[in-house]
Amino acid sequence: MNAVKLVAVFAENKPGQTARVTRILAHANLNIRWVTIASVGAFGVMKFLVDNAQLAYEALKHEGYVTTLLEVLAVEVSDQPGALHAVAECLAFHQINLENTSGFVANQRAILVLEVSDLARAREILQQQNLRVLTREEMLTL
Amino acid sequence: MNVFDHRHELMPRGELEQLQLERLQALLARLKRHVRRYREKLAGLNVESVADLARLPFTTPEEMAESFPYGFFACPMREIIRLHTTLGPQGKPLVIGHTRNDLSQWGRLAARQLAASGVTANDVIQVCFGGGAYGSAGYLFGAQVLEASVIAEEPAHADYQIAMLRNYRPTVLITTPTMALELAEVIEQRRLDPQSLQLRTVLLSRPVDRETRDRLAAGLSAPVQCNFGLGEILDPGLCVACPAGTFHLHEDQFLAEVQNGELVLTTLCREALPLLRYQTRVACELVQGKCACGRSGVQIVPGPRLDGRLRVKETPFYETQIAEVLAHTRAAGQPFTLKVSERHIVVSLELSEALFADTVWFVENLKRQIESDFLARLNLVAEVRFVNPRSQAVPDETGGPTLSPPETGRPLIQS
Repeated sequence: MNAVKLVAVFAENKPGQTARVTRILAHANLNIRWVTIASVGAFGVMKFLVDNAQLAYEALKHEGYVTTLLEVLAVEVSDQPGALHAVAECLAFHQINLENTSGFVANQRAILVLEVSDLARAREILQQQNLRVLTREEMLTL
Repeated sequence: MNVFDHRHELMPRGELEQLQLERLQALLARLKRHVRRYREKLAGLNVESVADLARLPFTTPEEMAESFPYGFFACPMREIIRLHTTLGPQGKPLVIGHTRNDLSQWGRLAARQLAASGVTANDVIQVCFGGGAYGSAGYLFGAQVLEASVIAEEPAHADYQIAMLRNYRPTVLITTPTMALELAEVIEQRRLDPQSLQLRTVLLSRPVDRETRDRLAAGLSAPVQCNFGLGEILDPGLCVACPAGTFHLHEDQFLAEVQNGELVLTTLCREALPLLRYQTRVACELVQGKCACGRSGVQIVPGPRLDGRLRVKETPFYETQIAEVLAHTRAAGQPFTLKVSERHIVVSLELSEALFADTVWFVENLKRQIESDFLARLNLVAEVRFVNPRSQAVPDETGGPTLSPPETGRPLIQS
């Protein structure tokens, strides 16, 4: 299956950095579906889910940004209390560390975006629990 | 003027020059006999006067580093009873050996400084250098010679040091500028009265500017003097800092010259590691004349380092050592720029795409790992900042599929 890919961009923590990155994406006519920006003092990492990750990667690299593509798991859970807990519990039981996690609800669908070190195993485990792991196409057409 | 060794410190000029010549001739004989490196360089060379020194070859820190560890020793190891290490060129270590005579001589030379600062057998001295700083040994020898009482404890925190100063009531504090500034700061923060500490004199391990000296004198309520020394030669014990703040060279022990602005020193009496015309890599001026303190003779006016040696707090280092530390990390070989501030270094590291792909989840961890490496390996507090590469990616003009994914990427990126 096609895994969900994020494009991750390294940026120094200076005014205007985000604007510069988003301008590049806009010029490439890329639609940002989801974004997270983590700042660590003097620098930060921005991660984007866009409709064409490879194109975003090339556009940013072309402009001199340190960029990489990153596979993540997008899991659809029921929009009710305890849903995230069930996922976290299940991964914990199998000794899988969550590196970064975020979630959102779109069109009455609750989506968790999980960054884990052992992607394949995590996917297998979640699927065994009858959780829906979304493909790239599904994620882009929410 | 307090003088410990009247005969040598106040020797009439003529007599001193005769003594210097005799010692220089004896030095040459020892070097030719016992040190292979000098034997070749000095073949056929002799001196008839101290001025002939100018015809003799130099010794460089690089030569010493090449002969690491014992290549310049003039005594068999059996006679060497102490080994100290000092920082050599580009961070390479230099080993400084001492015979029994060298150590007792070191004590007498350090005692000259202590006596000049007014220390007597009635004083209690706190010698406090903190971890990682060189050079407290000489002061301990000197204090022992004067039979002053030395507190044999190093408090780990300025608070404990204040408690110690109050309980043990030392009259003399010998410390580094960093620790003295910390102490003065804490005394001010706690709103303590520095006069209650009963310090009569504070001796700093290295020169500081006038402003710092005045600030410390006010903050610790005691006159502050600075020492000047060199790890390869002697520190302390190279010169006496008088109350006027002038550095008076121990001319019966060392010959000083200035060559192209650089201080060049010859050790006249040292047994284990005698050095001839050693290029110290320190800028310097020599002044002849009578000082306000009453001493005459050669005064040393030290300037900055000439070899790019840097320092944060009391830790000296070279930029090459920064690259060496990085070489042990995942950021090995990445270009970096270095900024040195008073209390720490800032290393701005260019982040490559491969490194970013490899650590995208852990960029923060990588930063912390490298920072702790600097502390562990160089005793330097470092702040690591990742920056974009300066040489930005060149656009692909042909439009062909030349873009290659990072080779070592952790995430799977093949589409």
